[in-house]
Amino acid sequence: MRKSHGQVVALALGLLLVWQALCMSEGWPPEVLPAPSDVAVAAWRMTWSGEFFASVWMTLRRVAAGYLLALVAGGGLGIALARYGRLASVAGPVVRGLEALPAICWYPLALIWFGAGEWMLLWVTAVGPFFAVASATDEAIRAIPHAFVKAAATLGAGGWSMYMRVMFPASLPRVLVGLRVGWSYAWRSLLAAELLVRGVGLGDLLDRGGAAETVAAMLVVLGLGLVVERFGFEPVEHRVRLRWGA
Amino acid sequence: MKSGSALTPKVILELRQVCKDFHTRQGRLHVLDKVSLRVRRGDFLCLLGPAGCGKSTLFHICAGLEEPDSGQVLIDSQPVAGPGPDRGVVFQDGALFPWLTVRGNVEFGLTMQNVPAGERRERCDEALELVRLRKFADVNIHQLSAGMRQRAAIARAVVLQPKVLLMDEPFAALDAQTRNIMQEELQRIWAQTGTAVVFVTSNVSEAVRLGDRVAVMSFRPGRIKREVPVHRSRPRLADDPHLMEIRTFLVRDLKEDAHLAVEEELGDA
Ligand SMILES: Nc1ncnc2c1ncn2[C@@H]1O[C@H](COP(=O)(O)OP(=O)(O)OP(=O)(O)O)[C@@H](O)[C@H]1O
Ligand SMILES: [Mg+2]
Repeated sequence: MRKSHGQVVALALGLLLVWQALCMSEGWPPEVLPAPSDVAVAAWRMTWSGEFFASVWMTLRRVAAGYLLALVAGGGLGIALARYGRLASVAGPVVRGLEALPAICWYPLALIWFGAGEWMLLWVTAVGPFFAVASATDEAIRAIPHAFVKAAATLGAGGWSMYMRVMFPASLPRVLVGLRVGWSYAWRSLLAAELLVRGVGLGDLLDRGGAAETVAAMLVVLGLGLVVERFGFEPVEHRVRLRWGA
Repeated sequence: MKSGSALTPKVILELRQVCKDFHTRQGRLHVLDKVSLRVRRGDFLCLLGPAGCGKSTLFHICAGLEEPDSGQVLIDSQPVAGPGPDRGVVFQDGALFPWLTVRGNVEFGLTMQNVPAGERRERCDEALELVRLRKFADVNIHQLSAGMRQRAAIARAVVLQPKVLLMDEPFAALDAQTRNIMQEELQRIWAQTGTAVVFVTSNVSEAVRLGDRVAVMSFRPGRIKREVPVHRSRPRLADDPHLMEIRTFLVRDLKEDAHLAVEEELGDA
């Protein structure tokens, strides 16, 4: 992992140089393919005008709200599904079916229900991770080896302590997979929805100015995604892998 | 010490006429039929029987993880209601928690009893010393070998100072050498702690080497066919010639039931 960092940076710089050279030599119109220098200028301007910060802040708030809501509700539904067989036999297939529906498909309906505002965006953001987290939690709990629960019972665990000290950690590796998938659903569908409505937000920023502004906004979206990956999911997954030896 | 009626040690675990059925798609499965057993303080009882005869079912009932349909399970003359710290339990695969270190596993039961951290640590260290895993206290479970895992599982059970240690084929998944070593170790641990042991196995040599008594189970319905005492000083070696005679007898005794078990298995397929 560590060693390849330098190579990745070198590759990125190389691509950047090729890109810049292409733009300069072929004389492509900058409205079609902006040169890195144009993008840098646009990014500089948007940073100082405050557009970047306003959009990033807005989008992060939305994605955090939608994702957290989905975690709580989806986790709750997942636990209920694992716990109550009757519920699972009826609602389980529905949950897994609806997870297969790309969340942006909810956009038109959400627009009718809530109008072009925050509630619509919340719905579109939360609905994808909701189903992903619900089905992952359900599966994770079902997959807990019975031996763990039996052993814990003989050691005096029960009720709350069984949930918190056994079921929760035992299901964590699989739940994490659901969390990661859910995150990507939330992030993608929110940006798509923001692109479709006018207003403050990174999605909107993508489609506001010229091509240089678009590419600058794309880079910000990419950067944010990488930051969440690198500082959110990776450390947690790394620790779980170390412990479990998987 | 052990003989002499006046000095007969107290009965710790008693099963009275325990019956258990399972209801399967093929119909009713009469697994345990009026099983009665007595385990006294310091006893080492081996429960021997062919695959599928109901050993694990009986084990689960003793542990309080399953309820008998009829009959009684008494610990210190008190009826058993669910699992409890008076019975230490070791499963075949150890069932150690991979999200905890060895220490975390051994301290788990103490944490459940709200034992303060200092005392927890001390008792955990003692238990790890007993199974010779002291150096591995802070290691993750997946880093342990199969034999070390069973040591840790034993430590996790004995740290609660149970009256009886229940073990369900704890060495069945180990290779021959490790198994041999663990049998020696268990005899030492048993001598050091004085806890009564109920050891479930389908391996005749293991039963004869470890048990003061071997309770032989029959197949379908599962009954205690007979109890065979093993009078032999300890520690016993795996190839002790004096044990051979009992071994040969038990192998013959089991043969018919083992055949029945295999036939049923093949018939089901
Ligand atoms: N929960 C259950 N539901 C239905 N049948 C069961 C259940 N548990 C065990 N059985 C059946 O009861 C019989 C006895 O099972 P048990 O696990 O007690 O046998 P065992 O002697 O421990 O076998 P093994 O040597 O394979 O460990 C088997 O035929 C098994 O299929
Ligand atoms: Mg068994």
